[in-house]
Amino acid sequence: MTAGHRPRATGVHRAVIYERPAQFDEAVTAFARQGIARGEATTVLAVPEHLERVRAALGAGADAVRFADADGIYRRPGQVLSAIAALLDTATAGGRPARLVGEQCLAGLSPAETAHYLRCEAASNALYAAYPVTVLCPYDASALPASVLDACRRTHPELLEGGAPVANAQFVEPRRFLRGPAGPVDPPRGAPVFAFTQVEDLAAARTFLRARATETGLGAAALTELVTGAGEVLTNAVVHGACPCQLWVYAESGALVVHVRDAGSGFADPLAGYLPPEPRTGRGRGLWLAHQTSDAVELATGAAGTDVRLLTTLARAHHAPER
Amino acid sequence: MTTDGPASHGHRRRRAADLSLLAPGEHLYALHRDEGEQRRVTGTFVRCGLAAGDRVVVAVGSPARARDVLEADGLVTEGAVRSGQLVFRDVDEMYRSWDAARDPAALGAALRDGARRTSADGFPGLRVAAEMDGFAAMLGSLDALLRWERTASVHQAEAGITTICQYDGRQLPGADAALIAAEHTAVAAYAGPRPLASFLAVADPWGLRVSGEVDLSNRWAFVRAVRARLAVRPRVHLDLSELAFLDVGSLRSLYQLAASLPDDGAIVLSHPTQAVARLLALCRFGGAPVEVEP
Repeated sequence: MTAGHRPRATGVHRAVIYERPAQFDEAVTAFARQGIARGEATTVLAVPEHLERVRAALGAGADAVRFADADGIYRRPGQVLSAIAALLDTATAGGRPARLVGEQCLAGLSPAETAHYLRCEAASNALYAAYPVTVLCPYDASALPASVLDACRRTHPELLEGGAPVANAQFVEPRRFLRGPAGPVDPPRGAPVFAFTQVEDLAAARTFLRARATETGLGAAALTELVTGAGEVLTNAVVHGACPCQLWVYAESGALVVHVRDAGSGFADPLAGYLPPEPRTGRGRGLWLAHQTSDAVELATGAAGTDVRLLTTLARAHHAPER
Repeated sequence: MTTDGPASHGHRRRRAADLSLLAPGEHLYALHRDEGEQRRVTGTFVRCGLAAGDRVVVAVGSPARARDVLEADGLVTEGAVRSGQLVFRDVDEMYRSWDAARDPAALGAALRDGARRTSADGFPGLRVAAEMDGFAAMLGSLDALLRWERTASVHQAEAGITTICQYDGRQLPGADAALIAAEHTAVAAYAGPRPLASFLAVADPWGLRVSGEVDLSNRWAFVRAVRARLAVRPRVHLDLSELAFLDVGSLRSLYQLAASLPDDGAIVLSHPTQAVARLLALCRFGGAPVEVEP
């Protein structure tokens, strides 16, 4: 992303924590009106019922605004940043400033998926920094748990308070947020393990993965999706990690977990995999692919080494053959 | 009587080379004690050579019979013969015409010519399986045979041709076998694993049929085979209908190959499986003529 010709290449990432629907309408409508008035490419991503209310409130101004259903874009947290990057590439083409309402859609996400979504919120600061964009993320205090609201305050550098943006003192630098306090989790006692040390072992590791995932109940289409990303994580462990490497595949709280451990000290950059890779060089695509093909990605480094856990929510894997 | 493999007695100095992992220029020695052993060695050599995308020449006393045997083992396909990837030759005729026994320079020239024609026909390498017994008898003495093998080692290494010299242990005294083995770079071991992928030449449309799985362990072989096809014609079709896995780094290698093609060049990815189609949908490298045909 070259941003040299753009008026401002440091995006603003702001949250509004609201209690009542009227507060949502007021904040989002005022934000969109400001974008229209400034000639910015304005997009509202929200759940369908909110979209209708905002459209009605904007009246004739709504014609200048793009509305998109948040449910489609937010279903798999790892795909959110790729979708938003594509949206911003189009919106800011030619250097035009952009404005985006990004209402998350956390209903129906498991705790692991929600945690992963919030990590994506932290990483999104690095994405927005490269675009001339102002982003507003509404969080519903009447519906969301305190832990999510707390994470919201730690991942947004600005908050909208009393109708005015203010710097947020609770904001945590994204890389620090992503490193987090959580250490590696051990696989369940007795889970079959596949140990590997060299690139010649990768095919056998994939065979083990396919067999275990099928035993655990994953269907063919979901398995193809899983192996596309997990195959890259296995390769990374051998190439960038330290041997010996280990692979476990097991079910945990309704998710199929692909758990890859290497003996190394982890990823140099905790943002690795969150942001879309540069299209031409294609470097750093492995972990990014895992984000696209899993419902949650968890990284942790500790005394035992570095863990990558890829989660596929089993209930959804059965209902949605293609995503 | 020993129950070791066919290449196990009398030559412990030689290392064993896995037939599925041969480097270009390797000059192998294999001793068999019956037809079954010979058949296994030839079969493995042919299967691995074809899978690597190389041209494989089977030079034997009876080409028609060798073809029948390999066909019965499911190793000869009509396509491989039609594309010129698999060739059967009469070994005595081949070597006699080179006049190699008396003229080492002629052997060198013939091998270089073989390597040149192999590249011109779009194959990354040439492998020859030769049944040596008739030829050895024709040379007349053990010394002449050893001289010939020594010369062959040098020229084959230079030309990058991989060969396997097959000898019938029933016709060869143990001491002779040891001396002959010593003139080769390695002894064939035929317990190699099945290749992870195979790259079979296709003449029309010009390209390769890629099957199995391609990852970091065999990416070099994949790139080598595609490059050999591109060297002859810049528009290459890769039939991916039996490719079960392709990693992102190997896909990127294809884009890198395509990026340096002339204006009329392209790599066409035909009939990708669901797994490969998903990877293609997720990774848009761009900037190179790579076309996808569902």
